[in-house]
Amino acid sequence: MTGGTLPAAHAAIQLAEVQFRWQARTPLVVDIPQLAVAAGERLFLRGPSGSGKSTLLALLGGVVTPQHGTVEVLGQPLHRLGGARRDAFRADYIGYIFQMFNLIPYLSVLDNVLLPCRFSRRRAERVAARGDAHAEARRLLERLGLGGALPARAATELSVGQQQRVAAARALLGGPELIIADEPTSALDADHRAAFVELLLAECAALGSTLVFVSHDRALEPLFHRALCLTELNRAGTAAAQP
Amino acid sequence: MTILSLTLRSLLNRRYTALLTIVAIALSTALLLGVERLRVEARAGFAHTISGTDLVVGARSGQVQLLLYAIFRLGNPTSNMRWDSYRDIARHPAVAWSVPLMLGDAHRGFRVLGTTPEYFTHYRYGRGRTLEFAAGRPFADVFDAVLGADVARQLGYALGHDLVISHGTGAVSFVQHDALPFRVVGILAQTGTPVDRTIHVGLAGIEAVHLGWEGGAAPRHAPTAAAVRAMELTPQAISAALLGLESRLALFGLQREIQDYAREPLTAVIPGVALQELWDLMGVAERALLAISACVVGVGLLGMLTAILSGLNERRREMAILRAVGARPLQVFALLMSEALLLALLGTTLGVLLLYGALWLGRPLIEAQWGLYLAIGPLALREWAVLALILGTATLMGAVPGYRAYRYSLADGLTVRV
Repeated sequence: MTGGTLPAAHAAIQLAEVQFRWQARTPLVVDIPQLAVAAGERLFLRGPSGSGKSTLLALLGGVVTPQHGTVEVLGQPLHRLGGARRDAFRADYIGYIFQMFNLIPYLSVLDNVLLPCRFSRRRAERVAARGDAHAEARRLLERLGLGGALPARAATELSVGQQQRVAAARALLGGPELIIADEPTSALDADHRAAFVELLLAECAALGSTLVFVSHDRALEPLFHRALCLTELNRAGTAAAQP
Repeated sequence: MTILSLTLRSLLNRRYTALLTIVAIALSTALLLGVERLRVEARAGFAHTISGTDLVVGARSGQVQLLLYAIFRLGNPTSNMRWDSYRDIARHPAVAWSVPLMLGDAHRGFRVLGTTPEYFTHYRYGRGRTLEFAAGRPFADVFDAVLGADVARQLGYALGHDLVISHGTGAVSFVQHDALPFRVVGILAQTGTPVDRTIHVGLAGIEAVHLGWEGGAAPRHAPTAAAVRAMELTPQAISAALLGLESRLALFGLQREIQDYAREPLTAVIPGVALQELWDLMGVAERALLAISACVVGVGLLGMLTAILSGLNERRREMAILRAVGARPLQVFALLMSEALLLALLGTTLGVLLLYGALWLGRPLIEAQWGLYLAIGPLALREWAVLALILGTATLMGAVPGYRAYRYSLADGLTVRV
């Protein structure tokens, strides 16, 4: 099952003949002939561990480049860019949500949310365009149900569910074009899970961001535009995905 | 700026470990700077055991030997210089002032120095400090004596005390010039120089106690004090002389002239030069102390390295988060590096403050005890160099966790390892 063939200009993500291995003599962990995600699309990506999921996200985030093939994100050929350019691109255009431990323990909730502004001038400016950065961060937190005195608290004082919502606020701050969420709900219980995903989807829709959402939880699938299974997408298949 | 503020927050979060590291660095820095400063001051103090004197003249000998007996009252002159020669040199147009020194007798182990009252005005030590009287006045009478601070303290003598000079320089002498006791009329303030351990009397006094001793044995009928006072007591010879010049430009010329003195073989030494030579002989202990202090700083910095490295593994997820929001691997490197630099910077700053605190508190004590005057001035160039070296080493050390974090962040990518 592969995505539709949108023209590159309208695609948020366009992968072609991508092959990646961590080291020269290790087997391929990613071998994807074709993957396209349209701008504004909210994609559900299902894949068991070992399906090359983390590596695919690393490729999309520009942390690594493939040995073969092309990775275009928001029209940028990441496979051709140098490390510093890819880091800058990630800072400017991508919001990232981890499975857990998303927050820097020595920063307050608010400072964690504002973190992207420290590394990306573009996102700082986009936030500033909507008014004060702190106010915008507070607004996002409030939308995610983290109002009141919470923003000033230490990140470590929050529950796991709250921490994931803070991570979502951080990823959304400055309205990056692409949000990548790597099993963001796996540490949450069922009630919080649905609520979290609905909030995330609503915010992405409001910002017009493309969302790539990785999860095992098929119950969430209906909430997305489209669902893909990584084992079908990735020919490298079931080999160990991690070095 | 971004990285530095993150470093600050991170350190603040681990404030107790950070504080301990800073204190360790501060203490070792203060120790090293303190040793360095004491060393410089001790060296300067030593070089200033005598100042203001341009030449020390004595019978022909090595310059260190002449210095040892004339200034440090250690050992004995191999031979004396004739009084005529002294008078002759003292009249030289380049000579502004001269003070004769006569050694050879002692009182309970303390050397007795025969000299003139000018000694108290011309003898300088430190940076041109003059001798000061803690009590009393210079000697005037033949049997007046002025004690150095240590002599008065250790023997418990006060003004008016009578003392008997023994022949020779041993602590216990069976040959006492006991017919003619001296009276203490003055006690000098502490100087931290050999002056503290010297008993000063007039040249005439030395002559007086030796009257009738010309044969080498005690005279059968020693003259009375009153009779001695009536005599014209001019020495035949002296041990050494201190000279001050009209102009230091004449220094080397006069030194050569005295070395080539026709009527008797003499030696003239420039005290500063000879003192430096003497200090270099004793420099091993000083360098050892400095080396040990440097090692202590090394240990302090290693402690810092341990603290940073041991926390590194727990911080891998922090690095992945930073990478995810767009931090470059180099910025992750800088984060760890700046942490080391910041710790070292705070540590050395605190160390300098500690040093000045200790100097301020310890100065009166050190001055009273050893007569060593510690100037509380700004940091010397050498001390800045020491600080720069510490910071440089800390930076190099910080590169170790920095590089590891850099490797981690490249290898881990956006994978949050727990």
